[in-house]
Amino acid sequence: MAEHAEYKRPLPLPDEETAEYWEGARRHQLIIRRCQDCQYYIHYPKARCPRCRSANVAGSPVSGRGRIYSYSIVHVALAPGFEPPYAVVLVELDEQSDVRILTNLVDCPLDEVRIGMPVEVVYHDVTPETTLPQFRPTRAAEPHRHFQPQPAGNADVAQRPAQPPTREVHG
Amino acid sequence: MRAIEGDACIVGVGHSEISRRSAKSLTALGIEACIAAIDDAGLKPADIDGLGGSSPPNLANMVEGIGIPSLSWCSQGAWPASQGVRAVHEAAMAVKTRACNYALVYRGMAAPRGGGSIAMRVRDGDGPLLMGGPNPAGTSQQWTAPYGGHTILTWLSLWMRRYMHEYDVPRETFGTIAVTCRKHAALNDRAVVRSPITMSDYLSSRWIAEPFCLYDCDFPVDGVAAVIVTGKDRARSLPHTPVGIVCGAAGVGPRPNWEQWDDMRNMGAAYAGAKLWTLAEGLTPADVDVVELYDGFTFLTVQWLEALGFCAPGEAKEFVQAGRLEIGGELPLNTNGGQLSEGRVHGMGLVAEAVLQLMGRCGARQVADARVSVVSNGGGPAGAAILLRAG
Ligand SMILES: [Zn+2]
Repeated sequence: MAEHAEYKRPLPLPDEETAEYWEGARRHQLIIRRCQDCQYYIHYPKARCPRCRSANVAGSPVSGRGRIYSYSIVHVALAPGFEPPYAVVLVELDEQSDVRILTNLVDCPLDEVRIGMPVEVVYHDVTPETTLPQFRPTRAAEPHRHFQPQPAGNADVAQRPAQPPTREVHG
Repeated sequence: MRAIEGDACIVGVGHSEISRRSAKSLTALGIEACIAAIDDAGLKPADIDGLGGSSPPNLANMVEGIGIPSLSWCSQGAWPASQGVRAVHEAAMAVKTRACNYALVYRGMAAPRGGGSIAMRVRDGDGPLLMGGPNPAGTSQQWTAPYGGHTILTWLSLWMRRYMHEYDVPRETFGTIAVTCRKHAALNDRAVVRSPITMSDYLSSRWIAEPFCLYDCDFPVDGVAAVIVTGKDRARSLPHTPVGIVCGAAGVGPRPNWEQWDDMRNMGAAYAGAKLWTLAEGLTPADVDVVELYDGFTFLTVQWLEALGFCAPGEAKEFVQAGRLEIGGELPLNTNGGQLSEGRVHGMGLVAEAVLQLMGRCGARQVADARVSVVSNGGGPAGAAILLRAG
């Protein structure tokens, strides 16, 4: 526990909507809230499905695989415990591209970070109470130990919402 | 279509001292700017019956400090209404609906204390910091702070990287904004940084959060700006030619969140820009003589040029050319030096500059025959813009 006592970075403070995510992380599972009626993943978690308005929502395990949607290399001190430079990346999940997870990129030199890079979750147990999902470049040969496959039938859920009006107005 | 706020106008402008670090409180600076605006409009504090703005500066202290006897309209907006442009738009609607006769609108910012420069620091304390509270876009810092990615600096650097990737935009596009603003600042006594920079300076400046370098980030200052909004009928007896608020618009998209925004090629600005021109009484981007577009980061200014239709989405990399955006060019931009050089007065400095341009009071940096201007404010999930016309 000695290294935990030294942990200086900000820790998440779960609330009613997010407890399932952080409890899943402690079990080394990535749990994303999902509409049980239309199968849409709802992230950040909300009480109702933004697509069909159903209140029948529940946490659902996902593969933990995705791609980098965008990234930043931070060179200034923004928070305790972070030694710049470090990478902040937005991962879009394979299950549904508009589910994004802001994370660091670990096990990757900063000059190799690219948009579109395949990544996978790893779990960092940072204190006895808190586990942070982090992402690293995908290691193709390594099976995912924690992923429970979901039933088929949701092939359309990866579609993005409609484009904002500016594309039509000015395009 | 005529916007309800169409006959509201701005009749006075005031600034506090703007500096890198003032010995005065932000409230003291706010009072200074507000009294200057009241004087500039030829009014007395007792004439003011509407007050818009946001804390800080502290609004209660402002009322007493200025000596306003009573208010019939008061708005202290939170996100996304917190910044200068949106507050001026609200004041125009308040005047037009007769909620008040003379609205005083202010906004200011203090430079971060305690060593940080651009970044908003959380805490340098001992021990872990629990983060559950809301961020300005209505979600929770628990998703971002544990990863050191919880500030507008990091969120917008992600947006900028994606925009550059989608449209193959070179760094020089953003550098041109920085170099142009600094060139204009040399003509503005109020600007806190006035020495010119070159593209080479821009490209070699230190990284803050890639792709943001130092010169992409606005300059933190202690300062407040204020304006007076009233109706055209009341404006006739006042000293300055009024500047009409033709219309205003705010925009927020369907996923108003910094990380989950669906398409980072654009921002809430796109929604505000699209709405603005539907209310513009026939005016179009081609009628605009001078623009004061939000430059908390150079990236935001580039986004606003596209959002407001000065160029098509993705075409800013061709449109942003130094000659075009300089005073004397086709579309002079941020003629006071913007927040990049005058300093971060959170949108209200840009409002004040647009008004002074349309009143013809800008001296060495005056845009010839400036009649129509757009001012914008905000970045990421929310934005607001107003269209102004002289006379
Ligand atoms: Zn649903």
